[in-house]
Amino acid sequence: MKPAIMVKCDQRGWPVAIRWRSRLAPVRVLDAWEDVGAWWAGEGEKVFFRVELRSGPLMELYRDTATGGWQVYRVYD
Amino acid sequence: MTEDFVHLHAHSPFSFLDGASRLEDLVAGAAGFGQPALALTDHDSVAGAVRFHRLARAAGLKPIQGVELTLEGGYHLVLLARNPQGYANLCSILTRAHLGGERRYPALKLETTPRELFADVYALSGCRKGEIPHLLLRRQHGEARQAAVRYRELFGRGGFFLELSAEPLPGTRALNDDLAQLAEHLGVGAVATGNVHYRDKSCFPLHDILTCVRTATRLDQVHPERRLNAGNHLRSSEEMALAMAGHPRAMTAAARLAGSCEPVLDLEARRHPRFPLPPGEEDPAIYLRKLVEAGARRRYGEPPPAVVARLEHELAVIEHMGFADYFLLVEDVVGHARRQGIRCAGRGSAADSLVTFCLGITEVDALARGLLFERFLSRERAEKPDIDVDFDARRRDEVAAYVSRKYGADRVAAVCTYQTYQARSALRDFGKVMGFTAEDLDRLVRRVPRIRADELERAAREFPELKHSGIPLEQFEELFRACAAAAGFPRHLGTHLGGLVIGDGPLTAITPLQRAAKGVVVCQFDREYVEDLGLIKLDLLALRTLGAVEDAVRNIGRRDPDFSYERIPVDDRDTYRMLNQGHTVGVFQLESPAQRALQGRLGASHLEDIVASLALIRPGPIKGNMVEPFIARRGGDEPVTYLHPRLEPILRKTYGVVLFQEQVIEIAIAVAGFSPGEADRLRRVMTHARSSREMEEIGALFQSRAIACGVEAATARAIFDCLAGYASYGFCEAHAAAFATTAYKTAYLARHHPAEFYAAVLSLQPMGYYPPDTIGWEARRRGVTLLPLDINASGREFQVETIGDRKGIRVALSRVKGMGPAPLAAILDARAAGPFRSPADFSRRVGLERDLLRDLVLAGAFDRLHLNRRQLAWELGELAEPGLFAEVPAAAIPDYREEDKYVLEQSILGLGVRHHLLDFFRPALRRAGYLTTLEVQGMPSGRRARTAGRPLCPHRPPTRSGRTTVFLTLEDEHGLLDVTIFEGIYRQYGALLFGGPELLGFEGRVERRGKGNVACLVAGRVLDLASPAPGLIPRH
Repeated sequence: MKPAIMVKCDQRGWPVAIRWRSRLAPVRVLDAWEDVGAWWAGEGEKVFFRVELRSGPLMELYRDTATGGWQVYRVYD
Repeated sequence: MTEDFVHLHAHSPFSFLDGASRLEDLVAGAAGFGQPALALTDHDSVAGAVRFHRLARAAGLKPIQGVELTLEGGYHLVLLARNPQGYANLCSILTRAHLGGERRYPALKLETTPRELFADVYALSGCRKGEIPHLLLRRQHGEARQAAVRYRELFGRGGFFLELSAEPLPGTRALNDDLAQLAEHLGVGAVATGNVHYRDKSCFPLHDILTCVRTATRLDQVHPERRLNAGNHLRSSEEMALAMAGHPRAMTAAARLAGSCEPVLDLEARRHPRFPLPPGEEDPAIYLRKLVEAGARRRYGEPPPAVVARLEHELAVIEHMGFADYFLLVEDVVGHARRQGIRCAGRGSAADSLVTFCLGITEVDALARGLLFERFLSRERAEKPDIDVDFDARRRDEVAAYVSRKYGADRVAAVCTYQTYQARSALRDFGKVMGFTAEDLDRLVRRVPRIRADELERAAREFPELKHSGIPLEQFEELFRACAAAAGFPRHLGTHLGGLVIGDGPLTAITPLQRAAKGVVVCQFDREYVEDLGLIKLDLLALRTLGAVEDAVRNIGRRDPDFSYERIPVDDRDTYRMLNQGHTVGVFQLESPAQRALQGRLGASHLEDIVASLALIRPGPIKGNMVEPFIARRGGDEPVTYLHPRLEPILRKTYGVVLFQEQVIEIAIAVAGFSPGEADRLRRVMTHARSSREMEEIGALFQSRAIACGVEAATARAIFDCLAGYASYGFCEAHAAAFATTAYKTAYLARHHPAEFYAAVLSLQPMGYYPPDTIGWEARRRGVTLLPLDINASGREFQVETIGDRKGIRVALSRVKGMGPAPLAAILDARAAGPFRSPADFSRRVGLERDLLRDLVLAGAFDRLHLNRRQLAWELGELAEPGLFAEVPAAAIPDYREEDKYVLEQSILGLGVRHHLLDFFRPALRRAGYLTTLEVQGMPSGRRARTAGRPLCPHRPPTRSGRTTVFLTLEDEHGLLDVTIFEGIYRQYGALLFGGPELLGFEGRVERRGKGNVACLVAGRVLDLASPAPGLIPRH
């Protein structure tokens, strides 16, 4: 299970800021894609975003469309 | 502006395993979104073009025809036809891609393609498999720019567009930005596309499964072709605008480009070829008239007035409709075949024509039989005539080659077929993808009847052979659902068995051509679409029966030079006696279990009975419960009555029963005063009526016209009800008559020349209903010995040998599993120098693969040279690999038992040469009280019997009551016995009847029926004898 994260979104559902190190940090979306995963095993679709924090690392987040929850997928140091 | 968006890149199931929504759904989707047009861009194919054109027009959409073309190197490029000329160019481009490369791997060489073919065509840079996106994704910007310049030069600044995709894949945003920049830099357009592969996201699992089938991957395996997400759906304009937020101009550019494209198909055009007239002839109609008149003189001497009048009528219709060239063309093909000694015969409704009879195309005298020309061709129907001709299957391709030579290879191609997903094929393909083992699938599929893929869930609930099979069906539910979703999807392109299309010019102006199996060039349209496109189709069918007749006649002729197939007497009593006993295995069209049962009851005594037989054993008459009244009236057990005196002359020959389509037409003419063409239209509407309202409307018309002709209202209604009950399953009398002669004559051959006939039938396998083993046993029951495989005596095909005063059929070398043309030729060539003196001599003179050599030994080919097959098999291993078995003392190896030899022969030859399966179980069966089929045949009606055998051809024809009745033929070493299993017993034992064991026992009641007094068994219990251990203890 990837760590959960709080994300603030725009009208399209794209992240504009995330809670990072106890602060709300604005982000810029560099890329977005979807991934159905192992659909045959009941896995739900995920929407991935590669975001750049104004002052912080590059990271990938995803929203699980089944639960609506956000998780951090990868952080580029 | 968003409402003006148009999808320019969309795939249907005609992308063959890369499109997961029906064309109907894609068109409905685009129309539902209010989009004004839709482009169809299947992979290297325009096979969906005709259906797409019709559907789009009906939905108020503009159809744009395109293709996603594969280029040399594997890159993709989307091409769209701007107008009909652009479509013709597309077809030529696709033909170059298909015929210029390896079969199934089309690839266009752009550089060597004539530039003029790119005129009237728009090119889009394609999906991520396009050269430019591919290079950009690899950050090879310079190379991408060079490629774009190259495409711009080929297609022109206004003809080439960079394609910005809405697919939600990693890197799409950057890629689209790069493409938009490149477009601006080069001064070319950029268009937004959705790269659509299905209508909505719910279709993604099916698309993924199809992709796995295409890439031979299981769902849990990774493959680069599999899509990451469900983002290839048909997006609404609003959704597209959202996905393409940074590139609004690409959206409007797509709509603009769509606006400049025209529909490309003209489905009203006629593209029939002109027949090349001989010198001195200028008018095809006049030339046809000359040929017909000459033919009439050949058939009739001085033609009587009725013949002249009928020919005049037919020729007037043919000339009026402009089909003289077509008739000349068919006459020429048939004439060529005859000159070459290729046996042929016209079939189908063409035999309703006296012109085809006089031209020698058919052998049915339509006038003498009172057949209606309008069933074949009428002014009112205004459809193309369809003349089907059967040819000796082995030489049919020679005839096709003649057509190709005569009209030009660029104007002739085979018609394709779309091999679509049915229950069994979908189960096998999708089951493999979903991880089921081959064994599990095989077990399931063997029990699945031939049904549609969307009927599987119902079948699993209702059919006892599935319900009670012991297979855990709940594990297959997902698979059944997937199969249902793909029901009827085309899987791949095949070749129509006989259809040739002939154009009035190069076919590549209308259809792409590609190579099918065996190198045959096929067009991308099937028989229906070919006709929609205005092309003429010629059906040159390959009929193995004609090959068997040819072989048999040739062999009989060697012994009896006076024998003539053409002069076989049509009233041979022995032949009819044989038919009356239902002994028709191998006989053309009369050998099915249902036909054999009918023959046993009908008491056929002349050719007309056979004509009726062919029409009776069809789903309709069986479902309509017409078989019983017909037999009863034919046998004088029921009075022959008519609803109205005007029906008597029409229905007299069928004892007052409506049996043929031609009779429906005649009744409409006689009772309601319809013209022949109107009457045929009525028949067709009745045949295809899908709703009770439609039927009511037709009924009202028929009745009002009948009443106007003086028929009482109640009678008119009764006649219509009779026709309505019949019309949906009627059979064409002309077709039945065309087949009846061949059916009778093959029966004559089976009766009087069984060795020659069954040798020929065995050589032409597979054909007919029964496996070769059953054919071999049928010959044996007729006193013909089946002679074993012999390396010094067996030929390429089954041969007749005389042993004293008996005849035998020598098993052919070609029956050996894996015996291809090359090893067969090697054996026969070596033997031409002298017989093989020993197995070692054979090994020295013929270099065969070890497995094939072993199979020859195990099938008994060397029995006359070596007495111990098992020992020889070891010795041959030693010969092939010296020293391998050196430690085995050869003399110590005992030979196989007889039952082992039987099993080996069955698996290698598909034939039991010396034994029947039941030979080995007979002693135990006797002890357990099982009678032979011969003994049951001799029992009186009503007696109970227990018998056993190999079940053949279990089937469940439709019945009027809707209840299931299963019919099968039980075979043992003495003969065949028909078994009937009614619904209750079927529900109990269905799992044994379909896909069950090879040996079954039946207990039941003997019934003797009909003139032939032939016995059948009505089953009351089915016994599983699958494990016939000593004592044969039944499991049920």
